[in-house]
Amino acid sequence: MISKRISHLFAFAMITSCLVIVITCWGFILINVVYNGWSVIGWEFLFKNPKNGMTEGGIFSAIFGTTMVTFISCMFSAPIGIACAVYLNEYTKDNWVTKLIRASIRNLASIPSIVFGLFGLAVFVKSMGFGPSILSAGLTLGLLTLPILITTTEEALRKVPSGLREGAVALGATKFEMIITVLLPSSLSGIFTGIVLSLSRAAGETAPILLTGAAFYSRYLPGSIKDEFMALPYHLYVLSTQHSSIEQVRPLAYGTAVVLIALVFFMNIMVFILRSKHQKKFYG
Amino acid sequence: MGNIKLEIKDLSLKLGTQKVLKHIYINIPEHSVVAIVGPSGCGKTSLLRSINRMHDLNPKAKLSGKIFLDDEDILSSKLNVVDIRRRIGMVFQKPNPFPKSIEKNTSYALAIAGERNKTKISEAVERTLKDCGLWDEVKKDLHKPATHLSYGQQQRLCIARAIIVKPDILLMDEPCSSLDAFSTSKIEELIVELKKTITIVIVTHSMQQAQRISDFTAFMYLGNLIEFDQTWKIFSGAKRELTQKYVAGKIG
Repeated sequence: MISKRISHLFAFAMITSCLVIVITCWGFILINVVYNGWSVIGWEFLFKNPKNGMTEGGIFSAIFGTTMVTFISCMFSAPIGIACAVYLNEYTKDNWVTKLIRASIRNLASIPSIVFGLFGLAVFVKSMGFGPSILSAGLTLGLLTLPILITTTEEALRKVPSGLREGAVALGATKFEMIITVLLPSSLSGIFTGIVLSLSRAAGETAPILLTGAAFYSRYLPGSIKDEFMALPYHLYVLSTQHSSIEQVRPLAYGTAVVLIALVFFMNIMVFILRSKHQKKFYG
Repeated sequence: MGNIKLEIKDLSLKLGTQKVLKHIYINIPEHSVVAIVGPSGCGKTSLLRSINRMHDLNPKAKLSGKIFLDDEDILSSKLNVVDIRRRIGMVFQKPNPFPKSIEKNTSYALAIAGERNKTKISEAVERTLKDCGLWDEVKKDLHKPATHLSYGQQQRLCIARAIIVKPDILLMDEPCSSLDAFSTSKIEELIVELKKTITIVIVTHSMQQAQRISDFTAFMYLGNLIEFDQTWKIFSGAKRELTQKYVAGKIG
């Protein structure tokens, strides 16, 4: 009896300590970054471009670049990813071809991001002639985030009760009409989650954009999606390791990290709000 | 018997290797309510779902035989299944309103059929909801989500949704099994009202319900149609022993 209680307590202690470790790490990073970076954050930092070899000025071009490239990756991956998930979940039969497709999607998710970068360099930058640009980087990030999007969307589609599908079909809807009018609207909140996860991932990736269009330093904003751009994660890398006077720009690097974290956090919050609004509306 | 509206002829259904329905013959007269009764797993629901070809969704299902709706074989691959389902509506066991507004739910079939005229749609919605006795309860909330209604109201909404396109036949798969007594009686009143214009086939577990609302009763057992007759005959003087035992509650 006692040994049972002890083992129970032990297990509980283990689980709790795991939780504590995770939260401590997370808290430490957050506090450290915000503490060191807070002082530089201000109007100028957020809305001015870097100047004097990145030792002064702001990071607006990097914020702008990251936002643009994330947006393009989403425009590219969301339609393809959702269509792919719908196809896999609604149209395919459960046979070895489908299993193979699913397995390759899972494998795609585990490919190192630098490899995606190389692929983007070879295909978008060189073969398709987009050059190092927002477009190339956006498309590369889009590819990178496709597996996340497909898996989460499929999960969301699977959760839609079969009664809703049958209900629509029984009212004379074709399968396609059923998907557009009932299935997708019903799984919207799950799809939102997938989009946000992939957005956050795309915003934080460095290796793929390094090879496909991120600029070390540019004084001007990109004029079109065929131009090179600055991005937050790459800027952070440059400021912390590549800059000639690293000590001097350290606060700027921390500030950049704060902005990057805040950006991703903001996106998550936005979607969380959208999602709970949608759920509240229909399922109280 | 009046005109035969629906004629089921030698209908068999296989799901994989399992024989679910075996050589079913039923003639359903126009403007009548037909109850299908029988123990769980006897093929009641499978029979019902054959009538509007819901088995098309299941690649393992194999139907044979014929079902005539006004002398037209609806199992024929020449007919468009979407048109058939527009003529044969269906209400399911669990209310399944779409996550849309009450109005959008009611007018769904019209929208799918390509009706864009807003006044026509709202007129049809009002008329149908009135027919289903739901109008006074929801007229102020037409734009609110249908998922917020009570279960009984949701089910009546699902009936409204199915009859807005004026189908010839309405199939109901145990529509009251998840409802309380009050909602059940409302739906039963509705069924009796609807029968003036629509032929209704209803699967039910409740002997009382079958007796209250149906004109004809089909008793099924292990995929066979054991007996099909006027309801009062089934319940007070069935010809087959199995039917007598079932309605007396001796097999279940």
